Formats: sequence, structure tokens, C-alpha cells
Amino acid sequence: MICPECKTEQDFADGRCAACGAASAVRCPKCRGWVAKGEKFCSACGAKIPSRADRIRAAHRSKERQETQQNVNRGRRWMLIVAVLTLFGGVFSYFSGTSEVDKKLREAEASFKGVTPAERDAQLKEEMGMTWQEVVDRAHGLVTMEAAALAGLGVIYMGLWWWAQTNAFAAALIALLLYVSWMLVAALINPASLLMGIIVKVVIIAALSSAVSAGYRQRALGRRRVA
Amino acid sequence: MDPAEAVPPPPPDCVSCGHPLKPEAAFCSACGHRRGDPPVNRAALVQAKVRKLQRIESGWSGIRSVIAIYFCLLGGVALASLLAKAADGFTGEAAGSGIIAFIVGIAALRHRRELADASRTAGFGWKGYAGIVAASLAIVLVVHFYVHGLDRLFKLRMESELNPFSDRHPAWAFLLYAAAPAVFEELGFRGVMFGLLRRSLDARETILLSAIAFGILHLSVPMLLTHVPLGLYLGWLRHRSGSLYPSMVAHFLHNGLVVAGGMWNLWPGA
Repeated sequence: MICPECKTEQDFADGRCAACGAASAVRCPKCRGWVAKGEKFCSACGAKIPSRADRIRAAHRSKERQETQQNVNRGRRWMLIVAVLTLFGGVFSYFSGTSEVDKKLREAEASFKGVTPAERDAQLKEEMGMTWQEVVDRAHGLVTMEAAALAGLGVIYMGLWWWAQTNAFAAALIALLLYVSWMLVAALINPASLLMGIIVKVVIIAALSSAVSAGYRQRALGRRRVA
Repeated sequence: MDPAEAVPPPPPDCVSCGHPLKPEAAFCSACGHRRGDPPVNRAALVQAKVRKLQRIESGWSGIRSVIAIYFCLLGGVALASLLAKAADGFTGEAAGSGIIAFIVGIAALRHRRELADASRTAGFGWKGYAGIVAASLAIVLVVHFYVHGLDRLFKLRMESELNPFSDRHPAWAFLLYAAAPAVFEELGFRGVMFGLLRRSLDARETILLSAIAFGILHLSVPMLLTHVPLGLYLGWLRHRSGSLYPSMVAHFLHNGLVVAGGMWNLWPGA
């Protein structure tokens, strides 16, 4: 190889010219042959020889990837937390709802004291279109369905947390839409619930939004890398 | 002059960048081009890279628009629900349809380019539309048995969804429950949102995301099990036909059959 400093055909050891001693060659990252400093590609295998600017760009990109991954991981952590809280919410809602319904039913039963079951059924049928047993079944059914819906939501969040490993963007986007929509449903049923734990809710929405954007960036960076 | 002492010919230049090639080099040390390969159109490569970056940027702006449209629709649904509580069911339904039509109309105007191709073609021939009619009947029966089964399982004795229309002409129920959702939900989900998502996602992901958004916006966890598959079917129709009309027809038939079944007790077990 010709030394770019002394312009003579020389052997290189440790990147130094055997004649003038100038550090004028670098190793090709692909074929490990010597390439004169300043050349952009290896003339033996065609590999790109990274320049100082390339190395800075690569470090920058690696830092960007790391930050993106951190945002995705934060979003996934919150998905898992929301999943566990929703699952527990389902169990809690079943037990607290059942005891509340039982209490109300006992009070209602007490108000029918002295009335025969047949008369009670007739009165209820006229007022609500249901017998006593149907009212009891419906009240318990509503509590069970609400708990099952919460548990189902928890399972969905759990699935999204799992899916976010392979498709962070889509999973985070669905989790964000689902979380905000469910918050709205809860607020429509009980407006005071909107303010309960508002800081945590804002943190969750911010983390999921940032995971959506990071997930998208991750896809874009991945595609750039492949190209 | 002796021909042996003639000046040796200069080294050949790289056909791609014009840099002189070393005699023993297999590749150009300036651009990495392989010796003997045809020249590379560098301007085309740069243009392709710029187009790719533009596609990524336009895809992200599409995703942001989808999120914004979804939250606007969510706010509209919440407003309609508050109106239904404050006034009566019919007012809530009418206001809900009006608000959704308004939001979708604005979004469709703003992103009319996403709708241009899909609104110009009928998508399927008569056989395709006949298939949609047959499939709608089967889908409505499956949905009916699911809702009926849920009612039986939890002993809910659910009130009819058509109660807001009990003292109105049946045409109102068909207008607000079948025609309006078929036009505006399809224009919103399978039109604008589908086009915006398709900028950066493949067809499969676009169908899945638009179906899930469609399912969630109905704000009922048990109904996710029917609305998400329905959204997948409508999204598939949109993708397969390249047109908005097949999914509009399917949506209208589905909702219309549900309304007709509820109004005249057409389905078994009702």
C-alpha cells in the first residue's frame, strides 16, 4: 500500500509506515486489511471506513436509540401497573359491589315487612316490571358484569404490555386510547372520579403518549438502519 | 520513440464518481463502487432518501391527526351522553349523531386527499355486494346471540336500545342508528383514519388499529368483543375493495337489521 505521507509503497505495522513512521493507515472494519488514512472506502472489500464525523453520528444515534428504548420501557411499565390495578379493581369492585347490593336488598326487604311474597312480587311487577327474585338477580348480575368488564380490561392491558415487546407503537397507541376512553366512561358514571388520583392519571397519559412517539421513532430508526 | 518507453496509460477512473482507481483495487476508495459495475445514479439515491424521510414525517403527522380526531369524537360522545341525561334519550341520540357528523365532516374536509381514491370507485361488482348482504345477516345473528347470551348469563334484563324511539316514527331509529353511523363512522374510521394510518403502517396494522379505535369509541367493554371483529371486517372490506362504499353498505345493513330485529322482534329468542 502507498503511504499517503511519504508517497512510497511500504508495509504497515500497527498502522505506521515502515519507512517514515507516520500513523497513516487504519484497519478496515470488515476485512481487517490496511487502508490509507483519509480514504472513505476499503478498496479490497468496499466496506465504509468510519470517519470521525461518522463515529460521532453513530454515537448520537445510539444515544437516541437508548432514549427511545427507555421511553418505550417506561410506557410498558405503566401498562403493567394499569393492568394490575385494573385487575385488582375488578376483584375489589366485585366484593364491595356485592356487599353494597346485599345491604340495599336487605333494606328493601325490610321495607316489605308484613307483605306476603306474592303481594311483593305483584307490587314490584307493576312498578319495575320484575319479580323480587328478578330484581335480586339483576342487581347481582350488574355487579358481576362490571367486575368481569374491569377484569377483562386488566387482561387487555396485560396483553398490550406483552405485545409492546414486539410492536411498541401499536400497543402504546391502543393503551392510550383505551385508558383515556375508560377514564371518560368512569367520569360519565361518576364525575367526581375524574379528579381522583389526577396526578397519577396525568403521569400515565404522558408516559403512554411518549411511548407512542418513541415506538414510532423506533420503527423509523429501525427502517433507516436496514436501509 | 520506443513503444516500450511510452508513458503508461493513466489509471482508469471510477465510473460512478470519477475518482482514479488504484490498479489492484476491487472497489473505489472514494465512493465504494465495485470495479466493473454499471454507474450508480447518485441523485436518484439522494432523492429516494429524501422521499423516505418525508414519508416518515408525513406518517407521524398522520398518526397525530388520528389521535386528535379520535379524542374529538370521544368528546362528542361524552357531550351527547350528558345531553341525553339532561334532556331525554332521543335528544341525546340526535345530538350525538349531529356532533359526530360535524366532527367527521371537518376531518374529512381537512384530509380530503385521504378520501379521494376511495370515494371514486364502487369497489365491488354486484356479486361482492350480494356477499356483503349475506354476510350481514350472519353477523347480525351472531351479535344477537352474543348480546342475548350476555343478558341471560348475568340475568340483566337489559332495556331495549330502541327505547329513545318508542314514541317516534321508526324512520328516526333507522336514520340515527343505521344511516348516520354507516355514513359518518365509515367516513371517519375507514375513510380519514384509515388513510392517515396507511401513510406509515401496512394494511394489516391499519385495519387492526382502526378496528380497535372503532371498538373502543363505543365505550362498552362487553361490546368490544363484537365491535372489534366487526371493525376488522369493515376494515378488510375497505382494504380489499379500495372503496368506502362496501363498508358503508355493510355497516348500514348490520345496524339496520339490528334496529329492524329489535323493533319487530324478528330474531329468535327475542
